[in-house]
Amino acid sequence: MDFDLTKNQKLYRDGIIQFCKSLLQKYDFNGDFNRKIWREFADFGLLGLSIDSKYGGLGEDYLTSIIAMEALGYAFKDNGFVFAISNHLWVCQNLIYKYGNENLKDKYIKDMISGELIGAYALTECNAGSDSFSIKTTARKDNNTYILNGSKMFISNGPIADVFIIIAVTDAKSKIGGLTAFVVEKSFKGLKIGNEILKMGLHSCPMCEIILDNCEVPCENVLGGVGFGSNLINLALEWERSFEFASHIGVMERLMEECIVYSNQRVQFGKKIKEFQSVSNKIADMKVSIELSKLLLYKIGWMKDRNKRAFLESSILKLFVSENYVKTALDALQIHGAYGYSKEFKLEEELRDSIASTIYSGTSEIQRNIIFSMLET
Amino acid sequence: MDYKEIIKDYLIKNIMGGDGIDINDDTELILNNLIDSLSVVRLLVFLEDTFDISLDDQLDLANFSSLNNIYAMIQRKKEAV
Repeated sequence: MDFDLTKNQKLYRDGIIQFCKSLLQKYDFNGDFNRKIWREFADFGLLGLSIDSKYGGLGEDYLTSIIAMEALGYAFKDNGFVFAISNHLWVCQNLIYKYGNENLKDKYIKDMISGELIGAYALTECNAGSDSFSIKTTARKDNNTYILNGSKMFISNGPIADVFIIIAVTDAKSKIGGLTAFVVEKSFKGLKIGNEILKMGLHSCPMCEIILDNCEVPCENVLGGVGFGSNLINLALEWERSFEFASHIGVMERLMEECIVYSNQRVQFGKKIKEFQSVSNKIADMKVSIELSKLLLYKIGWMKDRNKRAFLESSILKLFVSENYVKTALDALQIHGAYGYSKEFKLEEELRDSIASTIYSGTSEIQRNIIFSMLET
Repeated sequence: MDYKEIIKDYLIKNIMGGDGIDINDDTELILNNLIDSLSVVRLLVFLEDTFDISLDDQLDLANFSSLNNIYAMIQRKKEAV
């Protein structure tokens, strides 16, 4: 095994960190989504990193993409915006790229890379979260179109997206073969964007309900074939649980570095607080969780570059990273004491952002269920 | 054990819960609710690891609908190698 990053990977990592620093100086950040920044990332090439040059991408491998996402999380201190990019890339654009036919790829990928189109993934409903077979949204074939009816809940990127992957029931009798994925444009007749759902963190990644009221979707916009929805859900989860969580490891690294700086500056009882083991142990634990997270993350990147299934590994990574991300944010706040609790230091914001990671893409409880079920007991 | 026996053995022991269960070559696994969505993933991982193949281009659920169809898919992939 080679644990060294290639020269190319180091260049991407360093380039992204520098680019993010320049954006942080150039723009004001008030928690709103900013399409100008989105286009800056598109122009930089980040939105097409792992996509073939045929569609306007850079054609890099998945491990390089993972390192890029990690650098993005580390350097771009707007976790909501990073989450919006992750959603767009891994559970919309990448699914069309990997499982769509040439027609769908030609139609959408280039504009998704250029920043023209923003993507979202719409699986969840009011009564269907991880239990995807409780989905009630239906798709009925009518000549050359499918007519979609129902609603999707808690859709990240919903208010800003132009293209949605929507999962609906095409055959209620066919059990897991009865779900189908559709690529649905915001402009399609019958698709309505609901009011934004306010949440505790990740503010610049807005969320809403999507209502489908006799929404007309051309048959050519079926993704991966009729009945492929169930498989697509599982494949999407694998991408989501690994590539989206790469950025969180970057945030953990940033928080650890902030704690090191602060614990070197803050003096109590005549010595720097890093000299108190109750402080230094917390920082040591951060380092342990970051390094272990990276090992599994890079292994998954290596596996995906070899077309290997990483369903179990991505669940383990998601569980481990999300729980340690929350712990790191909480410990960082604690190390900073009253300053950490203040709005000014933004650590309370980091903590609020981190908590979502143990919920989306399947809660920690669901991950443990999956991990156990994948074992041959 | 031939390929089909290996697959059948895995399905019965690890997906369907073991002793006392039997399936024939054409038993409808999906329509009869014998495998769920997560089981398909587990089966996928098992097949790819056991037979050293990638099934990325074979993910249509029809390929997983019966023992015969699973076996046919593996045969196709092995012959293509």
